[in-house]
Amino acid sequence: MNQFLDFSLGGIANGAVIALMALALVLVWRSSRVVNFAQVGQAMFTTFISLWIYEVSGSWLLALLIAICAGAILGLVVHLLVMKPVRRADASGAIIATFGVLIALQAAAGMIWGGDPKAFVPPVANSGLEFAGRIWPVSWYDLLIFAVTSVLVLALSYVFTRTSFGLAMRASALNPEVARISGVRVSRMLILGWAMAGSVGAIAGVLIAPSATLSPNSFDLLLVFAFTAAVIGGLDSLVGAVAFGVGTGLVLSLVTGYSDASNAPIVSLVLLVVILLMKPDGFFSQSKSRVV
Amino acid sequence: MRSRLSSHAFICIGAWLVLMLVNNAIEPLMSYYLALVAMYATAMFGMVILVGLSGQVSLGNGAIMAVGAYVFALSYQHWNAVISMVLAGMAGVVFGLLLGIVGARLRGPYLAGLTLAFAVGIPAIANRFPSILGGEDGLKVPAPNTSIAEVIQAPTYDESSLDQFLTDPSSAGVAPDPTSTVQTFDTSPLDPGSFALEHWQASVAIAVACIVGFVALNLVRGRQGLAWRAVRDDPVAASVVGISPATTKVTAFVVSSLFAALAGGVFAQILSFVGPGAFGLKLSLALLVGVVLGGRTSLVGALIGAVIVVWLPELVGSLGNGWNDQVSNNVPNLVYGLLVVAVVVFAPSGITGLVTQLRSFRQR
Amino acid sequence: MLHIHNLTVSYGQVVALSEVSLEAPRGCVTAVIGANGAGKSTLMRAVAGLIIPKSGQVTFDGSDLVGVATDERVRRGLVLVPEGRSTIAEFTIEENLRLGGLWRSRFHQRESIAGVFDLFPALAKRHKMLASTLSGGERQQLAIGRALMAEPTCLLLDEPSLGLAPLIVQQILELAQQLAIEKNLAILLVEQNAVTALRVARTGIVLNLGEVVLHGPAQQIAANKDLRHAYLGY
Repeated sequence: MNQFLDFSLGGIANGAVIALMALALVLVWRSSRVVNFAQVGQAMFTTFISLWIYEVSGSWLLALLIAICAGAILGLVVHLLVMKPVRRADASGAIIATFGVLIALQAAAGMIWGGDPKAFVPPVANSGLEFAGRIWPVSWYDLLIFAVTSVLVLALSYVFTRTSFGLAMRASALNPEVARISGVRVSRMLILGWAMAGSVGAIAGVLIAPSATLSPNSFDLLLVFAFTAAVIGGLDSLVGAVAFGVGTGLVLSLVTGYSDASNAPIVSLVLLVVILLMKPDGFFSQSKSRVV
Repeated sequence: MRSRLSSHAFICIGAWLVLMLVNNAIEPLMSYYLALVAMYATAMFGMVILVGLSGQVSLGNGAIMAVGAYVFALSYQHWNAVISMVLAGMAGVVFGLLLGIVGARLRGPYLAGLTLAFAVGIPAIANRFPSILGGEDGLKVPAPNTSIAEVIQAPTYDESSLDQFLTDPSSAGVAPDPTSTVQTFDTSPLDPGSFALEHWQASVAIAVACIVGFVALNLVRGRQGLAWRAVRDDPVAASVVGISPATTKVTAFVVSSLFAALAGGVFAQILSFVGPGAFGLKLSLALLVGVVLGGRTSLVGALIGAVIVVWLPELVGSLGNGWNDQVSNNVPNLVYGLLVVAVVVFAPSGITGLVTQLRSFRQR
Repeated sequence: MLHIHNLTVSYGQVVALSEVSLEAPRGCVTAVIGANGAGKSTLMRAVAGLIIPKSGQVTFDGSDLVGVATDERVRRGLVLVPEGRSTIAEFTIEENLRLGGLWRSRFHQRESIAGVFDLFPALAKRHKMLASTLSGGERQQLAIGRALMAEPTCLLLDEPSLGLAPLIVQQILELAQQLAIEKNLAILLVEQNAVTALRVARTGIVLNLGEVVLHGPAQQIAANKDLRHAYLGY
């Protein structure tokens, strides 16, 4: 039982990062009905930038802020240069283009920073906290991840449900034409959606980097896990992405704990297949079978 | 109908003859590249059918190639190469059917994501059953003729052509893996002009590619090809005229998986070895990149794509002698990535589409 | 005041509208009638800026609208209520209304919402409920209400009667007339339901296969028997 608790607690921090990456996928999906498979590539790239700033300046906060800005810019660039010009009728093309971006970003990162894994030193201790006479599988750094994720999720949900900007974003996602004839500048909303997703992904990258190592390919598995979480949550739903992101983290932590880390992708695959067979639209999707 | 069948047969036999003549005339290293091109073409014929004609973007075919390669390697321990290829193909059909039954229900991005998980997850299974599948070390595929095999000491796995195509995802990420197995290809002990192992491998690859090409030609230019296109463009209209969208989509999966598994069997023979590292996400992405660049909906495009995927890294390697490894190792992928984006945006039907456009432009 | 001059729209080779001209003055309803496929919706979408015309001009309050995006046209007071129930089903009634005037100040938004609720008391009672719970007629009211949130000077009503019961059609078209007079709006009304539409309109045009076949006072069109037989089928 204690072991179970340990594994579960250990999974929450990872789950929070998966949740953030899933959130980034959902933000893009909502704004342009595209799953951005390059999202982790963008996050990897901005995390390298952030690591560089961190090493030069010594300030983790500054590094995080730079990553957020870089993420927004990169998201914007990918949207304007790649996704916007893809013909709307070419659904396969949009998906393929995101993989093209992923390949190019990984290669570019390899050219600039090399393929060897780099260590990203956490700003606070990443070893288990001692409390009530035992060592818990939760570190100060995990708590930091959790705090950042919670603040971000709360801020996003406030923006989306309570502000005019959020209403315009949601309308553009649900029905771009109705939004347009209501006076919403839909193309601007698309750009903002991609930029926000880029920032959220960048935060996820900076947060996860100390728990793994940083290399051009090191986020590939994160993509699979985040996609799994986003799909189970319904791709449309911020709440779903966060809930199932944390849930996926828990399950993977239990799998890793009780068996072996190499089983995680297989379990993720099985989860995905089962969910897609049962509920092709996920659990939190608002709009049922909206044809795009 | 009959005349079309015979003209397709004529094309394929002709191609086979020409390629075999070429194969006998060139050096072993070139033969090795020829084998790789034929192997990629075999798999990409399947990708044209699945991604181009039936409109289902799948990253699972690299994993299906792994299935074919492993089945071939296991079977080859007991039986001959032909039986092993048949078994590999059958495994491909079974896996294609399973993947198709799940995948055909899904819309674009869901399918891409599911097959992405498949591409990442399946090779990891090799590590689950090390006693049967050899774990990270993989399985050896002994060369058919021991006298030739003795000449070749090192397994013939050329690092530059494939390993550069995206570094291995299983060696990074959540579980860093220090034991990446890269063997270099050694040509020195070979006597140019003799019928080396490479020539044998290339002739196998060419034969399989020609047979698969023949089947693909007949399917694509026949009723089935029409059905795939119809379901891709308008599933409702297709079902109204009596084409079942579900069956048609699953058929595309089965056919492309059959081709992929056969390509996997060939790949096992070219590498003389099967291991999880060779069949990661990078291979699936290579297949996708190839067909997109060549032309998503054209079998000729698949051939062009196969040549590009094998030849571009070599070209870049030879051009970039002055660069350091960090740069030159990544140039091919950067080029691939940017080309894929450019093709999707500016020329969605790839190189073959551009050629067709140019030709019609000139005629006007 | 909306002026349309020699507007031509084509989809590839197919010409959907050919040199259509008309004007919709403020304070009255101008009807555009015609059978299915006459190009009525194409006209409305082109005026709203959702389709780019091949040639011709649309001027609104004296300024040319060429190259002006849809959302900018809305902000200038030219608002389309499209065909079908174009509300966002996942939004509440209040959210749907707010969407129509997001760029305006909170104060003006609140004022407009109160105005819409006065006009449509049925919506006021259920402002926190999802739009998907409304009936067809109520959704049409909501769509018109959303358009009014922009404080328009010209409303483009595209087949507001589609799929509604005759009594409700009557109400909605009379409402259009009332809005035109009381708020001094220019209303361009597209209808298949010619009889009712001509009853509330001052002038009208008849479209057939993308061309204007008749242009004149509404009563005159309604009285023209040959025309009714030829183009409107009754």
